[in-house]
Amino acid sequence: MSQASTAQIADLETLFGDPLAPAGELTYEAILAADAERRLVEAAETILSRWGFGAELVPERLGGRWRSTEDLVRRLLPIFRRDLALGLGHGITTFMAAVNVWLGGDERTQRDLAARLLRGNRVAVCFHELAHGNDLLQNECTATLVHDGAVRGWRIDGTKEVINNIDRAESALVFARTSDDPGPGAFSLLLWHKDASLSGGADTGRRVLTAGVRGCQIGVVTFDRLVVPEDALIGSKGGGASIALRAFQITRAVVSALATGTVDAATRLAVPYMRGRALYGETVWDLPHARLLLTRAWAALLVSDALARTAVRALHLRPDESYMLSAATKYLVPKLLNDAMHDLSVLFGSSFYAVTPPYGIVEKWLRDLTILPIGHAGSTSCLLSVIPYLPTWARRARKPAQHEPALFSTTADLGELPFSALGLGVGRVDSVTAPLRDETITSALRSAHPAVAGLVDRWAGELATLRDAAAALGPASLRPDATPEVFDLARRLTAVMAAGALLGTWYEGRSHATSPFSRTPVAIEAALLRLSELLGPAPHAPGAPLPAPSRVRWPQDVADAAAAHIASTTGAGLSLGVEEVAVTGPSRSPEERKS
Amino acid sequence: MNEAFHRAADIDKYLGDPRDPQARIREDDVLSADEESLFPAEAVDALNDWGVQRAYIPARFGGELDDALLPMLLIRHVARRDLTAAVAHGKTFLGALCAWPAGGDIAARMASIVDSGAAVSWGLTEQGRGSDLLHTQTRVDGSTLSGGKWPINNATRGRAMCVLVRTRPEIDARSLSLVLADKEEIDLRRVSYRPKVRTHGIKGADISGIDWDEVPLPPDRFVGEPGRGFETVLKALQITRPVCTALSLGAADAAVAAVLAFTSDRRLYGRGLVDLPTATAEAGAIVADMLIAEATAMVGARHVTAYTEEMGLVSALVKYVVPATVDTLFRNATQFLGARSQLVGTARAGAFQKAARDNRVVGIFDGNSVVNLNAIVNEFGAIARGARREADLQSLPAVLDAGAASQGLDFGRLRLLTKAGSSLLRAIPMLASLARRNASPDLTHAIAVFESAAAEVLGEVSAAVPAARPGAAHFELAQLVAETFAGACCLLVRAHNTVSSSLARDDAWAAAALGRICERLGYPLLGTTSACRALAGHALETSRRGTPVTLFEGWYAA
Amino acid sequence: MTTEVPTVVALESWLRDRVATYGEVDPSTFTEDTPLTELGFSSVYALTLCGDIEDTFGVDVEPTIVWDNPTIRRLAAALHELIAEN
Repeated sequence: MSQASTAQIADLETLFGDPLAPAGELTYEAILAADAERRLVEAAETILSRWGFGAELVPERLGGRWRSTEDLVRRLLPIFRRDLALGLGHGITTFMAAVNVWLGGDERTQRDLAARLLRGNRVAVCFHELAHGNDLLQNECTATLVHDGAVRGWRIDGTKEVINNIDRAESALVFARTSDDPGPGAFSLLLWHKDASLSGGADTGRRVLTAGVRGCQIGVVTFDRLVVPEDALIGSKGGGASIALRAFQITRAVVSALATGTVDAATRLAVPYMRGRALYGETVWDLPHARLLLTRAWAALLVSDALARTAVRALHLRPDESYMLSAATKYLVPKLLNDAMHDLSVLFGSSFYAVTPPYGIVEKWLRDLTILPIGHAGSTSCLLSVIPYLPTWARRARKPAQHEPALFSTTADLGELPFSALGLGVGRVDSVTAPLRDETITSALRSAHPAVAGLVDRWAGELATLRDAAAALGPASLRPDATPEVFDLARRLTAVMAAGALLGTWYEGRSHATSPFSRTPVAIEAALLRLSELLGPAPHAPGAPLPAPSRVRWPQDVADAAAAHIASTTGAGLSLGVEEVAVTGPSRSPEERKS
Repeated sequence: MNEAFHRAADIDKYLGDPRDPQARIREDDVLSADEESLFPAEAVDALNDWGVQRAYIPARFGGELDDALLPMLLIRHVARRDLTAAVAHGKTFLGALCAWPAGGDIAARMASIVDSGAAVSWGLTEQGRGSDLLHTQTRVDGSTLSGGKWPINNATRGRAMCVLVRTRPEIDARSLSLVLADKEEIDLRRVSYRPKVRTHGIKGADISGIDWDEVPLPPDRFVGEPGRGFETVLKALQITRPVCTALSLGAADAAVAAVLAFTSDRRLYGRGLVDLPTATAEAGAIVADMLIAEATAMVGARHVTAYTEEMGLVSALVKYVVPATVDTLFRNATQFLGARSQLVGTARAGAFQKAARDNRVVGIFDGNSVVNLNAIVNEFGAIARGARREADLQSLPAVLDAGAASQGLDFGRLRLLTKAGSSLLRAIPMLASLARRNASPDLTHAIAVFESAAAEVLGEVSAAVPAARPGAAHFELAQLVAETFAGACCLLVRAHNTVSSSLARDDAWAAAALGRICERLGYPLLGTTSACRALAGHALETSRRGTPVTLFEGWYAA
Repeated sequence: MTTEVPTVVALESWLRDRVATYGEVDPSTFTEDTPLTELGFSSVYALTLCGDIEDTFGVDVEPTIVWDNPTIRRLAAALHELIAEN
């Protein structure tokens, strides 16, 4: 941890307690019961309010607790280890709204919002229109400057759909069209405080039911001649898209890092399950294939966590590179986490299918995580953020970049987030892939882990191949109607960035006591194997000789060593990920507890 | 065209369009029942009125069952509309099946129960023992039944149950028997029930439990010889597993319909999705996976009568790969539909999220993937043996053709282990050359790469060292064998299909399907993306005409 | 593959070796009359054994032969009969 102040804030792990305890407020049983009734666990929301959740979303300079974003992630992870819906529904969507104001609002607006958040108020974030998905520039909701005598205000017209907390939130941040010009300069952001409307209103009562995060109160807002004060405008007229695109960089990284908590919990829950479940006279733990599935899930978690934490630190240390890095993170991390949940669901078999604690919680987690790639920045839109920058990235990635240890280190001292340093460009250099181009790092890995030396070489080669391919793209191929081949390049770039983040995290983690990379040699091997599954061979052309298959093969001894590490870490009451820290989790199965 | 197709078209017409308020299974009712976890009683009544249960009874006992295709196609039509109803009704096929090889009075008795429309459950699993059947504790002493079964579909609402019981204390494969427990002839005061298990999907289904407290059974209620219970169950699973792929197909039908509707209607970035090449490629890939699943399920079903002796291997291959392919389809479709994949209460969107949740059950009941992959690994030796032998495979395409008449179902030909693996796998080179006739360059390429990849996989199987405890490498190889089997099914349908739809007659589907399989085998192909785009175009056209997306014609209402 | 019918004793010896290998048990810890299920000789191994029997002796067997003859002595006798018939 980097700041003494963190130690003064109570640990939510302690406040929430053991989810399998017979008497507890946030048990899996309570979570599942609430989910079935499409609500959140009230007692948990009370705990969070008393804990001062709102202060987490407010920068220190405005009186809140948010300084290092990595510390913010650490403090909120306990929520996501239990109930992702609680995290989103209680306040992460408020975070998504607030960030826009920290980026683009004036001092008065910021202080006012800070005070409201410190009181526990919520802000709904209103970008989404069902007909347009993540294509913000097609949005139809408008805001028009009107006046009633000397009083000027913005009249908002239209509808926003699938908005979390729109009914119970005291305020809403609305993305609306404020001019007819084509292009991004036609949109603005308005912060509507429901207690400060000038006239008219909005209907926020219609709830939309969803398959995942069922406890969240997701709804529709239909504006009915609502007029908000003129100073509800955040930033300048027409500046909405620019602010939003910078805000996304923060939220994409943070949400990705928080989501790893759910897969951490699910992987740990698999251990008592496997140990307790008899099958043909042995336990599921005794099946080699089951251990392989567990290992793959953990390895996907390691890659995701390495990339997401790097993206979070980059907001402080390399803000000029955050545009690409956050988009890449929000594409790849949800994909890897969803794949991990799929592997775990195969492992849990039929026992996860029933809505019965404890293992019934896994199916809820799986459904909740499914919304992540859909949510506020869907995967396709993340790739579309990356695509136009591919040729520029290629040039930047040729420039030498010093390995920046703090970027990959869980002990980095981050300071306050430099909001004004976030931009919309590619960045001066590519710091995330620097480890792949750093001979000291790659040779250290090759010599410490000869078994995966070949994979390291393949990733270095992939980086070079991508640079050449990206450099060759002309502007006409970079539009939303880009070919699948171009989308594929963007996907491959996200994987290369993950490779860089993984290498950097390993390199720094070797000397940190809480890092799995210092605790077991199998962590980097498993993570690299899993990541390398994304590295397909080049598509085969007719007439070319058939190459040898380059499928990733998982050696059983890697699966066994990894499973042993997962079990001992879980048994020691520690979390899984790039930091193995104390958590209050179920480490013994219900069967084991009874004995 | 065989009779099964006609019957299937008939039930499709009978059940009607789910959007039509006059239909027998209406989409709005399906979704609201699901939201409330209500049993789909009206739908099940409609199925009984039509007589779906007759497809569960062999012809010689007065029914219509003479191959796997008939129950499969009927269940698919139900599953497309409501997977909960398909599971609720279709479970009787599983519950009754063990009686048919037993024959005689017990079969006649079972036939009469099923014909009446009553539900028959299959009582195999017990609490705490899952699929570890050898440790069954429910027992019959003399003719007294004691113990309990859980979780069992239709345990509470069903009339009868075919129960796996212990008849000897030793823990071995000859200590178990099957008995018929019919609530209409036992002392119900000695019967109690366990509450409904609330599930995340098929929410309305009656999944509960039943306990018997020393219930005297009437004489002659053994189903098959005492001591043969375990063997009978293992063999019955070889038939139930391919038939249950109909559930995956029905779910996939729902997903594909939602994807195509979205592709047609959606505008994004200033244009229709059809004008965004990436979007159409993604939609086409989803359709390709649907067709892979369909080809595999149908060819798998034909194996039940045509290559009965190979079902030990084929049922495991099919039970692994069809749900796995449809699971992938659903994950891709969820991404593709975005927010709409989540919404409940908006017409088509609601149907999608129900189908997605319901589909997750298919991969796990009656043997999840770990169990099936294990079964495939156990057949490596047989597959290797088959590769070393000559075989006459000339008649293979004709007997596995979906449109061919059934040869009749002979339970006596079922075996626990195959002699020589799968004939279809051995026929890949022959099928490849048949499929190459008049093939486009993309398809020719895909066939060539698939043939090489398949040879490699089968070569690895031959070289696999038998291990006392198979490790990760064996399981991965088993997955590859299953994908190879799916590819072989696609080759076969491409090479020989007497009931081909217009979609099937074009090369795009086969190039897309084989391309995706080659990718899963480690060989992505250049032409797959454009084949997927072309396939999307065909599929959109098909759905605009109101026909389902399918490789076969005649099994649905015109 | 052998062409002459092996003796029952030879079959017993072959089976001891297979059982010891699959079950990963020390041959000195069991006899021809030990129930196979006690040796960790699960149904999985029964399947593998059938394959080995086919490869070595050219006869087609189902795992049910192991279920009906659950000791090495009985299994060897049953196998001997089967091979002699073929």
